Amino acid sequence: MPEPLLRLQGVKKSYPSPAGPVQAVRGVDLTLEAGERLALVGESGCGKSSLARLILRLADVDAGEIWFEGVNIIQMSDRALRPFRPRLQMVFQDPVAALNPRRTVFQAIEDPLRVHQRPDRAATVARLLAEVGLEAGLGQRYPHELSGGQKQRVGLARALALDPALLIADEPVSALDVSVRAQVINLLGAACRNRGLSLLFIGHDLAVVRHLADRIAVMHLGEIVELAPRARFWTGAAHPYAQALLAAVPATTPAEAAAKTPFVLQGDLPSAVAPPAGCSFHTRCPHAEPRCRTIPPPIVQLAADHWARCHLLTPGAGTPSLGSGGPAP
Amino acid sequence: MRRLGLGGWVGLSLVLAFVLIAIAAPWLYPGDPQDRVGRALIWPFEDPALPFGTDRLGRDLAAGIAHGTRVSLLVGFAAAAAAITIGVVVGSLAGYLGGLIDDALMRLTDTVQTIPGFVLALALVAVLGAGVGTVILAIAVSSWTGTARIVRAEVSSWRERDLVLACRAMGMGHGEILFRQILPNIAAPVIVLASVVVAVAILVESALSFLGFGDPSLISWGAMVAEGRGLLRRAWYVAAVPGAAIVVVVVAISLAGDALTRALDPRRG
Amino acid sequence: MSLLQIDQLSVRFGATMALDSLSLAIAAGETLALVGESGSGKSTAALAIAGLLSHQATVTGTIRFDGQALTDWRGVRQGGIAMVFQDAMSALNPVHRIGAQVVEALRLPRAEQRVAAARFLDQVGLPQPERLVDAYPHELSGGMRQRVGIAIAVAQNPRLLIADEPTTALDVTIQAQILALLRDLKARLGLSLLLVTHDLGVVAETADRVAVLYAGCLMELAPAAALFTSPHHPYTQGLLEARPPFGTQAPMLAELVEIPGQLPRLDPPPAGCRFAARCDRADQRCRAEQPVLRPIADTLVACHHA
Repeated sequence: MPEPLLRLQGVKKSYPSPAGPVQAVRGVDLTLEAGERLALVGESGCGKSSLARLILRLADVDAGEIWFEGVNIIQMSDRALRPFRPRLQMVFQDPVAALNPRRTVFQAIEDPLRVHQRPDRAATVARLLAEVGLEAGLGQRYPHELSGGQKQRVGLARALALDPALLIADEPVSALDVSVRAQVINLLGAACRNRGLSLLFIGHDLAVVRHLADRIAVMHLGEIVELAPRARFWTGAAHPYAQALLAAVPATTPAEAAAKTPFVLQGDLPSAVAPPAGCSFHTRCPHAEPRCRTIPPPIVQLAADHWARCHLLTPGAGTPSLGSGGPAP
Repeated sequence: MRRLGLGGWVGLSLVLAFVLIAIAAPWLYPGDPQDRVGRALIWPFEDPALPFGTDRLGRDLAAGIAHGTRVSLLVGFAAAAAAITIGVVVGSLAGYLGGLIDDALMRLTDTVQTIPGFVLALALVAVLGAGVGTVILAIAVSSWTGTARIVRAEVSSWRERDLVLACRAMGMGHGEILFRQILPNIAAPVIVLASVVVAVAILVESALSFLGFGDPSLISWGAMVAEGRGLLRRAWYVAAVPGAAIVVVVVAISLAGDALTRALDPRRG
Repeated sequence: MSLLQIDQLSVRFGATMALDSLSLAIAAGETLALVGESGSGKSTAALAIAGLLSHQATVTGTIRFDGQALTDWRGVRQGGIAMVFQDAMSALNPVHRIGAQVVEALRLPRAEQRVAAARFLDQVGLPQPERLVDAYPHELSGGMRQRVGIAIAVAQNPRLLIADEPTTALDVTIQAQILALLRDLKARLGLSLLLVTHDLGVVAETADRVAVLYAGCLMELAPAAALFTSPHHPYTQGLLEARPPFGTQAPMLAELVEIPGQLPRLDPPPAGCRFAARCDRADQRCRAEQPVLRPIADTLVACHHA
């Protein structure tokens, strides 16, 4: 089997905090094939953004391996990593925080090209501006002179400048106005299609995720609790937490809202300093049994490409039913 | 530059005027300003050739002010440049690197800061002996801590931004991130602080000279005020003229610093 | 009679026209959603009703609450209207205990404060209210803080609750909890709810009627069901179409319908229809003449072409 573009194995990371170490990522295994678009979904504090930073080597893992294009990048020095940097780029949630207020649009997009000493930079920047739908004249503007959507286009152009193989997009549209969100989603989709780009999309808006991703990984408290291809996830999400996330998506019309079975997950995300024993979701799970509170759940293979970590599931059972309390499938 | 405002224009023009006076002093008032030019204690405007009058020894106060400008501005700007440089280097390293280096540098800053600046300067001058170089060094060593603190706070807040992550993800080196991406953004508070440090340095130099710790071979505003101290009842202008020069230059520098900060911000104007 | 009646309300900040001649009414027990993007004027309208506009604001028009004209745009309303804010963390005072903040406005004797605070915390579904009374805001999760924010509002015994983006800072599962709580409080206490939001999903879940604002102007005012099934204004249609489809088997990576362009500047606002520069139906008249609201079935629409 050929090596995938990106492979994570047992990745762990904790950060110090006054209350004790925050276990942000607690053993993640994941692969991403070339050209694939994978979405990582979960609530804030579930570790999805930490994981993105680990993959970009913006923070160092405590344990585990990260293989990118067949090379384990976690042991590499900054210098050795430099040739790999262009292959892995990121778009951030808040374009205001990710752009330098003292540098023009042109300078911002040129920065990565300059760092890697690429030739014909002015022409490349012009091409990138056109690709993200910005007029060439905007090159001399400063970020504060742009609208939110335009700033995010600059962020995308900067990330595409080095022609990456993998783009990590961390909530790239959630800070944007509704009427410009579609513009940026379309650009992201077009970049994936036209450049054969792999995408790791981090988001909580499942409607956007559904639009962009081939596979969905659901993260809860530093662990992936379910991994499913698109077609199976939307109709047969198996883990109670995945079902709760789906149920919490607001209806698209009042009629749909009226028809929906009300299902509201009670309580908050447990503390990542002291994650619950057993299944990390048992404190909020409507189906929790005694064993869920003590024994960590196994990975249950529901289909060749679909698994979930839950005591209540049976291998190969296809679309599971967890009885009443959950949303209608 | 449209946004300088009235205060800014006044401040910048005055600073420029003082710089011109400092440069032109040897031509305006050739010879030693300590030389006697007339009778003692001529009041200002009494003799049109001596607009600020003369002191107890018949020395021209206008010549003293002009030559004293050289010392004040030299000490002020040189000491501020040195203090800001130390402050920016210490603050950036502490804020950007964090961890143990941050702790060590900040404890050092705390230590220096607990010693009153003027006392530290006084002690250094007393130990190293009077002289312009010593005065500059003494002021610089005692006034970099404020800059270090502000720069550290600003750099560490910028360091947390996604901007720095984006730069690192593209493989940019730490030096370039710090100097090209972060520091230009904190120029504004540093310029404000620099103007304050220049003003304080001029005051400290005057105070040192007033106490007799200045360079004895050079005339300085502080020494002139000290000279006039004993004559306050009979001839108050001898102390007031150099005193006014100190006040005007300090106010002008802070107005100019404020205006420059506003003018250099791309988000305005 | 309407509980709240807004007539020709305009708010300017210097040269910027933040809100242009807004007229609408909220009936007792009704949920009205004020929908718009940043710069639409929705938050300005909410702040005007709550009496929380800043001193830079120039206000014209009238707001009547329960038949009485509100004249002070910057004074806190003395009863009847309470507000819930987007960012509960910054709306709470970090150095005061939760309990004291909940009952602060009631001026109760000290002995009764704890019990009253616990009762309001219980009313918004917070667990162990007696213990939470003594907690500080930073000890609570985002969802719990927003519940405290709602408890503070409910403690003022309002008849109209204004909620400004109450779930925007929250995760989806917590958003669902807060929306359920607002629906429940509304039913239990017979409140009217003015919900300010940019999220059409939140609107679909909670609103009876919807007012769509764009660049300071009311574009469409309609019953929620009608707005979602047959929107009349091109901007409303654009907003609804630009959402990634969720309920259907939509093809992946298909082009979403975009609303081209950016929001206009409002200092001063463009002549004619504010949406004309981004509208594919705009003609000469749209660019010259500002459309007035006119009824189509049970909807009010400000468009020359609707």
